[in-house]
Amino acid sequence: MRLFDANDRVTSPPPMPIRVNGKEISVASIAREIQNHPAPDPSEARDAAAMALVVRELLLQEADNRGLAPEPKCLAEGRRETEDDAKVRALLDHALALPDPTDAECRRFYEGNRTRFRGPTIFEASHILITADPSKETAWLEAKSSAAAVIGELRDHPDRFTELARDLSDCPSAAQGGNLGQIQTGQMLAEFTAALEDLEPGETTALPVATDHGWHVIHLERRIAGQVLPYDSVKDKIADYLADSVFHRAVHQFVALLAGQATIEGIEIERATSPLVQ
Amino acid sequence: MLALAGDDLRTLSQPGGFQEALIRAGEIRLIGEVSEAAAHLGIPPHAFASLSVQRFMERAGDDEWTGLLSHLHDSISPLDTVLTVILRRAVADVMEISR
Repeated sequence: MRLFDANDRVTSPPPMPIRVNGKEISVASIAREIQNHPAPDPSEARDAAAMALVVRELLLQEADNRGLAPEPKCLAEGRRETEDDAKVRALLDHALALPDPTDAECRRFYEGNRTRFRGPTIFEASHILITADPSKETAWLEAKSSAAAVIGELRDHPDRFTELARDLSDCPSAAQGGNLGQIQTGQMLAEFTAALEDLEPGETTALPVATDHGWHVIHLERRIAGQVLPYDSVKDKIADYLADSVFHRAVHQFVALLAGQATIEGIEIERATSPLVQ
Repeated sequence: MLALAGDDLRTLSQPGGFQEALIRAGEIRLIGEVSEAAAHLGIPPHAFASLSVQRFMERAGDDEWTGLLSHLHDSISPLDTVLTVILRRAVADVMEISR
């Protein structure tokens, strides 16, 4: 009895061995690395795994060429760097002299991207909730009908909202006539927020709005647009973001330079022969 | 034995499942050999492990089952031993067809 035979062989020709300056990246190591690179296509995952190992090998060989052999550091939660991780860290610290972003650079980024620093929109709203379990079809439809009937009544008698909320709403806000006070984007369920965003101040939803809790009749009293946060409150986050972007670009370029100086077989990798940016 | 293998399959279908079993059995080298065999077939290691057990259950005759049981005599963890024996067999088959 055989568990596997010739019919199980992959029909495409075996891939060329991948080597970095003569050192082979084994099929087994690529197979182990694949789980770190999920992709819809197995060959895409394999290529990503192979590339990651080639980049790692380039960095490790360069660290050895420079005679770097640092002590592995302790990481968070009691874990410790591997010796290879320590070498890569030391190499990048050694090879990439990256200045911190200046205040002028941070301000320039802030001025060019002000909408990214706008605070959330605030809504002053009320609602009437008719609870129902979405998985129970009859109860769900009955709740929707009740909510629709409330909307019909409010169309003719909009001043009855508070009274109807107190009598009918299953939300604790019923005690306050359905008043939710001031709520921000992100504090409510997505469907609820979307309904609020579609309303003009003073309007009530024309149709019941469904969420996991049941059916809602929503009234928007006022909308307050989010304010742009002052520079001083976001400058540290901007500095971190800019430093991170510069670091990733520098690593990418450094790896391309190493690849340009190396003999790499079995895989295509971006190469550079000179630094593009100082 | 069939019930054991059935539970085993569910565990194996999760990535990392078979590796834990082989580590418990002290079969560290076999983990790498499974990865290599899986790569030869173009499937992830956990899929290779799961497929190996499934095929053993489908194809094994009385002789193979008797042979498997003989490995369990002194085993502390029968499930891990079953898996080790099956995977050794599967890896050997793949290495033979890959030459």
